This record gives sequence, C-alpha cells and structure tokens, in this order.
Amino acid sequence: MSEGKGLGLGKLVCGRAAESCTANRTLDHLCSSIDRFANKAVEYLNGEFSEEAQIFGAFCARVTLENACAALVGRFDPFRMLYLAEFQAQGGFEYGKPSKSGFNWAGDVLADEKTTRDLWSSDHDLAKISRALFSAHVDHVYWKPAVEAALDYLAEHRGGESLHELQAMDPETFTSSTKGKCAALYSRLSKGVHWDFFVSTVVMDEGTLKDSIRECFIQVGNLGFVSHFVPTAYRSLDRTDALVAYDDFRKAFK
Amino acid sequence: MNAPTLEENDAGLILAAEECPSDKFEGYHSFSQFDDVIIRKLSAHGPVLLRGGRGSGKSALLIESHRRMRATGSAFSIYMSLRYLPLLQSDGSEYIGHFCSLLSKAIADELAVQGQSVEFDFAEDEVALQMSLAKLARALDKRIVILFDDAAHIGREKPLEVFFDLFRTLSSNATSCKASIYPGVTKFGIRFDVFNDSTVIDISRSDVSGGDHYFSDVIRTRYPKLAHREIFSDRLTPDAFASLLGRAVVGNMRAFILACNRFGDETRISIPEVNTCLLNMAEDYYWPLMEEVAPKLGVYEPLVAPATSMFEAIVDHLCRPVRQTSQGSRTIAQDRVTIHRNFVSQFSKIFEILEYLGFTAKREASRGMKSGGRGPVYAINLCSLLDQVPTKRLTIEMIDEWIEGKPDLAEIHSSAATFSSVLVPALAPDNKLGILGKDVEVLAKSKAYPYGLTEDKIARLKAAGINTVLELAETPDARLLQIDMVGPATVKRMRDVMVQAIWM
Repeated sequence: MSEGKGLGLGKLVCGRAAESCTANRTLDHLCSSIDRFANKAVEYLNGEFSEEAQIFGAFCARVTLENACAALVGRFDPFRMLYLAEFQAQGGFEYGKPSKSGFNWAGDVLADEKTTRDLWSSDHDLAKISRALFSAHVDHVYWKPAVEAALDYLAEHRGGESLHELQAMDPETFTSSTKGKCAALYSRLSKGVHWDFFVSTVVMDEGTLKDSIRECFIQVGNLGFVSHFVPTAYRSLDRTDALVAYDDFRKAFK
Repeated sequence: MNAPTLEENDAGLILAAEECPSDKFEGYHSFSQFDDVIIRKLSAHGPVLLRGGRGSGKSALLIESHRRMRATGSAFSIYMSLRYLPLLQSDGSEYIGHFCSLLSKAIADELAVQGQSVEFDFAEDEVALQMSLAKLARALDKRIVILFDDAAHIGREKPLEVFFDLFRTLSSNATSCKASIYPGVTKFGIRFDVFNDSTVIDISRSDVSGGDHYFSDVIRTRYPKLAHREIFSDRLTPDAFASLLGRAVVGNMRAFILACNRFGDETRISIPEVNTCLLNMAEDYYWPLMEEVAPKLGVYEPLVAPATSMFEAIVDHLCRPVRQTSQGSRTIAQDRVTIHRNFVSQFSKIFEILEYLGFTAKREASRGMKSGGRGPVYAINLCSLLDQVPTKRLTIEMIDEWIEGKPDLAEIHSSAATFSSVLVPALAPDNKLGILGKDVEVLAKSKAYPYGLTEDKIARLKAAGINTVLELAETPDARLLQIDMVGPATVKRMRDVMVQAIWM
C-alpha cells in the first residue's frame, strides 16, 4: 500500500458510479466507512502490536466486515438498501430503540432458513425465500455463477502470488465456506467489540487479533472481487479495474 | 524442512520434523513469511485444521508454533503426536480412554518441562478432560493451545469421527485445538462441520511462478553451497535450479530435501545433472513410494493399483502431443491438467491418494474447460513427466516453461477415454491396516526403505519369534536387546524403520 493511498477496499466492495441518487449516496457513504475502518485495521495488522491495536483492532475489523456485507446486500438487492436509507432518513428512526426492519446480521447476511435439498419446490412460500447474502437461493443465482465467471476471467489473465486465495475458490463450496468463516469471525470480533472478557486468558492477544483482521480482509476481499462478476449487481466495476483494485488491496498485507 | 545429514543417526537422514531432536530443530528449519501467517493462525484463538500431503511440512509448522508460544509465553501450548499404535486399533470409548490418558500425560510433561508448579488432573474421559483443561487455564492464567500432529490419516477413518468429536468438545474460549490432517480425510463425523467448526489451511507450494523465492530461500539456508552462482553452468541460475526442483516435486518439502541431497557431492551443476536427478527421483523415489504406502492405507490399499494406472494415464495424456511430433503440436509436455469434475468425483479417493503422496498437487479448485464443463487443475510432478518424455532430455526451454507456468493447460474432458482402463475394486468394510500383519521381511533394505534391516537382523528377529510388523511394534526394547548381536543402535534402527513403515 503506498502511503496515503489507502487499501482501496471500499471501492473493491462498493464499486463505483457517478450519478447522484440515494443508492449512490448510500453506497458512497458505506465505501467511505469501509475505507476509514479498513485503513486503520491494516495499520494494526502490519504494525507493531500496541495497546491501541488491542483495544480498537477488533472493532475496526468488525465494522469492515459488517459494512462490507451491508454494501454487498445493497448492490445485489438495491430495494433493501433504499428501504434502509429511507427508513433512517425518516422520523421513525430512533437511536434508543431497536428497529425490527433494520439491518440485521442474522437475516440480511446469514439466512434464517432450514437447509433444504430442493431449492425449487413449488411448495416454497415466496415470503420465506431468503435474500440474505449467504442464503441458498442467493448462492445459486448470484455467487456460484459469479465465482465461475471470476475464475474463468482469472484463468485468462495470469496473476502473481496475490491471486492464490482467489484461485483456491471452489464455486460449489464458496458460499458455505465463506458463510462459515464470516460467522465465526463475526462472533470472534464481537468479543473484542463488547469486551466481554471476564478472565484475562481470553482477551485477544497479538496473534489472535492480527489473524482476525487478516481473515476479515481475505473474506471481504474475495467477496468484493467476485461481486463484480454478478451481472445484475449495482455499481460493478469493469473486470480489469476489479482485478487491479483486488491486486492493490491484496498486496497491502501478507 | 529437514536436515541434509544427521551424523549420530545411522539412518543418515531424518525426514520427518517430528523425529528431529528438539535441540536441533531450530538449526534445521527456517520459515517464510507465508509460513509465519500459518504459524500465527496456529497460535491464535480458534480451531484450525492444517491440511497437506505427506512431507509437506505440517509437523514443522506445528512444532514451530509450539516453540514460539513456549518462548513468548503468550499461551500454554502442548504439541502432541498421535502416532500411537493403540489409537489406530481402537474406536469409541476405548479410543477416548487412550486419547485422554495420552493428552493428560502430554500436558503433565509440558508442565514439567516449563517448570510450572501447577498440577494437571489426569482425565480418563472427555468430560473430565474438559474440566481439567478449564482448571488448568485458570491456574496458569493463560489460554491453552493443543497441537495434534498426525491426527487424521487417509484410510484410517474409523476412529476419526471420535477424534473430531473430541476436537470439537475440547475447543473453547480458553482451549484452542489445532490438528494436522491429510488431503483425502473426509470423514469428520456428524457432529463436526468442517466449515463452521474449524478453519482449514491448505499448505500448497507447488506454484513457483510469479517471482516467488521460497525454494531459493530454503536452499540458501540449508544448502549454502547450492546457492552459489559459480557452481552452476551459464544457462542455469541458482534461482532457476531452486524453483525447478521445487516445482518438480510439486512443492513437497520432503521430496525437495531428498532431491537437494543428490547434489551434495557435485562441484558443477548444469542441466544434464538436474536431468539425471529428476529421472532418478522418478525411478527410486516416486514409484517406490506407492509400494511403501500401499499397506498403510487400510481400507484403501486396493486403490494403489488403480492410482498407479490413473497417474500413468495422466502422464501419458500430457506426453502424447510431444510424442506425436509429426502433427507438430507441442515440443514441451504440459505440466498441468484440468480434469473434468465428473472424473474427479468418480475417482475422488484415487485423486486424493495421488495428492497425498505428492505425485500431484491441486493448483486450482475449478477451471472452465474449452471442451465444456469445469474441473480442478492439478500440477504433475516433473520427475514422472520427464521420465515419459520420449527423449527423457531436460532442456532450458522446458525449465523456463515449467517454472513460468504457461496459462494454457492440458485438459481431460468428460467424454475422454483416458481413464477407461482404470478399474476401481470394491472396498472391504473392515479397516485393518495391511502393514501390521506383514512379515518383518518387508522392513528389509529396499528402495522403499533405504535404511531398512539387513537379512541377518531379520533372521534374528524371526528366530526370536517376532514374525510380523505388529509383533515387532509390541515387543519391548528390553526383549529386543536380549537377541544375540542386537544392541541399542540396532534397536533404534529397527524402531526407525518400523515407524517409517507404520506411519506416514
């Protein structure tokens, strides 16, 4: 990462568009949040371990993870994002009150669904078909074909060392594996955010914190790159730009 | 990575990190930045499975993590090899009993080594073990990391479900479990979800393109003589030499060390010397490996013959365009192949065995094929490939192309007849390891066991009523020492070759 340039993770995850509209303002806002927190997190990852890193590292990684997933939900399903943007702009949004239709990790990212072998049974009720980022249907219609398209693109465009993690993606298991890793990461990072450590033995040490930040970057980077191969996703980058953005991002840490 | 020589050991060469004396470990091992990331993961909170073929460097990474944790005191770590015969032969509660007492003993030993005055409550079942571990973490005021080496073997699946159950049960906020496993270990039991209950790290070093200097660094550290420009001919640089050898053995560290050792006496290295090394490796390393490992594969032992024919078919497929030069198709055999996923799924265990032994390495999980469909990409060891090239002659053009890794790959598409002659036998339901019932003659000096026993020593074993490998394993050292002309050095040699025969 060249000095002052930043990781560029916001652009990799949120894409880019010039028009001024609610959707773009929302994604630009998320992009800027991701950049602010990810740029701080990478300093904690690459730098000497410090008290500040121990206190704030997990928080920065957790915001990066959550905002990145929220941005991807918005790019796949703009209605959901526009609803949230409108809702928060209205008087009904209160800081002191939980919101039933607000953005929720369990529901918007992880699907509240039973595993079923038959995705396309005529008995399925539309309202119960989850559009969560890692739901079985979203995997089928978005992620799996996008991972295949991304791998085909990479096969045509040789890359160096920084592409190993992308080349290891398997379209068949990408979603289940990423979901498992993100769920574990979310939980692990939440302990560092809420600081719910009642004994000193479980407080995040240097290895655990740096490993968590790196894992967060790897997962979010992979999701961001693949998202540009979903043909209906909003604000997708040109594939060449997506690869350049990924490569710059990936070279910023070991 | 291991030592080129170890003077005290008459076997001459230690190939497994777990057999390396702890005071020599540091001198014989070095770690790259990529390794450091893995080592950090092995020291952090959370369950991790470290997956890699035989000789890929899993044990070295586990041991180094243990050493670093011990040095920094960041966590109380226990390194524990599960190479213990009763574990192989038991299941269910019997396995749990052996496992708990082994782990309890390992923890007590580690406490003693570290000079800790804390007592560990010896546990005989998993509930007691959980409680003892929690108590220990509180007493030490440290989290605990348990590194299980040799936890899961291909073909030894029966006790694996119990192991992964234990792995999951013991994992907590205060106790992190890490385990090394082999490609092809697929039975994790119903309670263990590999995606949610662990992070799986694959050790893969077969790709030497993109300016990676991993193998050059290894050579500089362990074989400084082989890093000097002067020893090489004009056309061969030390970096190209290191990358070629690394790529030739598809990144397998044990095979890499064996290949480097062959240049110990060379004063000048040019392409013909490397050519000879690769051809010799095909002959005296790769094929004997099949023979050595077959009886260790348990229920999958009958798959060694089809694995051999399948590998020959793949190499033949890659070399055919070079043989058919009249068509002017290719002059250099392609070194990687995309194999349609239908084949990979039909012959899954065979592909896993080939990967496990280091004949091949999976380079990409899924690539689109020109002929339609998708499949994983495998890199093939260059020793076996060169052995089947008609001229058997290594050229500078081959070296350049194989190191660079050209983007166009060979393909075996779904309707190809490449594997039509591969017959997969039905597998027996029992899980007995063939090696245990084999005659001790199998331990004689051979290509598979270059440091094996002499005819005389085998005869003496038999005269003492020790006829099978299992009987040798179960005979205490004291009884072996009573045999005429068998001293401590011979007992050590017997044990070393027995360990090589039984374990991977």
